[in-house]
Amino acid sequence: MPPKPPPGHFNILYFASAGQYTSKSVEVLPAPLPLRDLFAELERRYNGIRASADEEAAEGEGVVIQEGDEVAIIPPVSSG
Amino acid sequence: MVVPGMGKYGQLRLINSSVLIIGAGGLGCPAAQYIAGAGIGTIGIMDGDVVEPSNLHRQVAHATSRIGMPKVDSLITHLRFLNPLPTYMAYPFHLTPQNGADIMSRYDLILDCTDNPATRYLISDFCVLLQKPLVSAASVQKSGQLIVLNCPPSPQGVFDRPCAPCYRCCFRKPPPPSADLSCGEAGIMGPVVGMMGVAQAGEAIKILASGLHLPPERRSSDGGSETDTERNLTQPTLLIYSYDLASAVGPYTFRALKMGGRRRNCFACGEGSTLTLEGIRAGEPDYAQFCGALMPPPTAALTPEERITAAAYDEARRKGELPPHVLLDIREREHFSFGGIDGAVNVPFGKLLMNAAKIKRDGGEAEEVLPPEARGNGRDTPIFVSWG
Repeated sequence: MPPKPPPGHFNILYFASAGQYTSKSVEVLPAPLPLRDLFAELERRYNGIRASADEEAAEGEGVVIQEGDEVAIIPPVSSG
Repeated sequence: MVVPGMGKYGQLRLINSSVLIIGAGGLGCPAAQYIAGAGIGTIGIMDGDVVEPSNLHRQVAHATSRIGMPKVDSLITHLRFLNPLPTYMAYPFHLTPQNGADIMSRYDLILDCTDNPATRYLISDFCVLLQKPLVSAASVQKSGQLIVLNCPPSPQGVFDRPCAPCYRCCFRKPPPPSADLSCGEAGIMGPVVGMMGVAQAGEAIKILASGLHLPPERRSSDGGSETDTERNLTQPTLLIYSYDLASAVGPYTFRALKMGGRRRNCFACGEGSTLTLEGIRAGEPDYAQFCGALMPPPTAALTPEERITAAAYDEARRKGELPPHVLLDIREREHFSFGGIDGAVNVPFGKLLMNAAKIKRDGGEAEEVLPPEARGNGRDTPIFVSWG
């Protein structure tokens, strides 16, 4: 498991191409963060990442990511 | 195989069942070996490719002596040595919107072992319409995914009970073509894709041995009400295997994430879906377009005058026709490690993007996008970029 995030933060995990795009598998972001603002925050850090994301997949009107939460970005993989 | 939960009746169900493995590559080879070993009665293999030397590090059922042979024939040759008893069906061509329904309808369960998003969506749509469970795995570079979909199967648009999702419920849109490289292009660690293929066979055996591919009324009477497995499968687990020794996600490299059930607004299995077998056969939806044209076509950032071929660059440089300049090689470090043009500075493209985002966020000069050794003598130094 990734280390527990520091107080006031949550873990965000990047899988597959998201990990390549960010050159990270995990990092911490400041919490709380409304879910609907997540992609704007990611775009600010990783120019262009938003264009590849399915923002609708992050459903949940009014959901707020809280301190200590874990959020995963899981792009589909299609090779084999 | 005699283990708790798997006895005579489970084995009999396996003998009487049939599996179609679509793709005889890095996933299909290991999956097929265990499917054959388990004694499943009928095994179909579909693939239109031939065996190539670069496949062999991961496509372990093929062999150097069978290079150039259709993969389907090579794999079945291997499987017959393992177990001559199953009926093997060869489909030495790729799945298409036209041939899919007829072939897939003859099988109890489908394994998606393919290597491209268009085929993945096509397989899933057929599985929804034909009500077939789908065990889907995928793998690239150092990570893999596995999920059981559409199991137990239920008709399109049914929401009066919890229903299992299809591939579109989980992944509504494909990755942009630029982000989605095949194993051949992006590279793949053999054991990673092998692990996913083996796990696929494991899930298939579990489903078939417990009769979950059958509608409840046709399942044998040894179970009564809904099983735990069935309940779990309506909100299946996405298994993610990350093979990254340097990763902070380690040492636990397997993660299991619970996915949602069937989505009401799913294009394929949701309410009011217009997806039909006739439609697919007639070219609706257009899978290639769905997976290839979601992004605007890449704009030509450079004019033809601003481009130079490697050969022309080499010649101009040898003749001393070029002004003092910086040569950037923007491939990933691992590619550069195999060789590059003399004097090139390696700044991987991903690193450039990150630097650009950092400058945009924190402020800074545009040239800081490059490390100091790649800046030359300032803004006026021409930069040549090599990416191939």
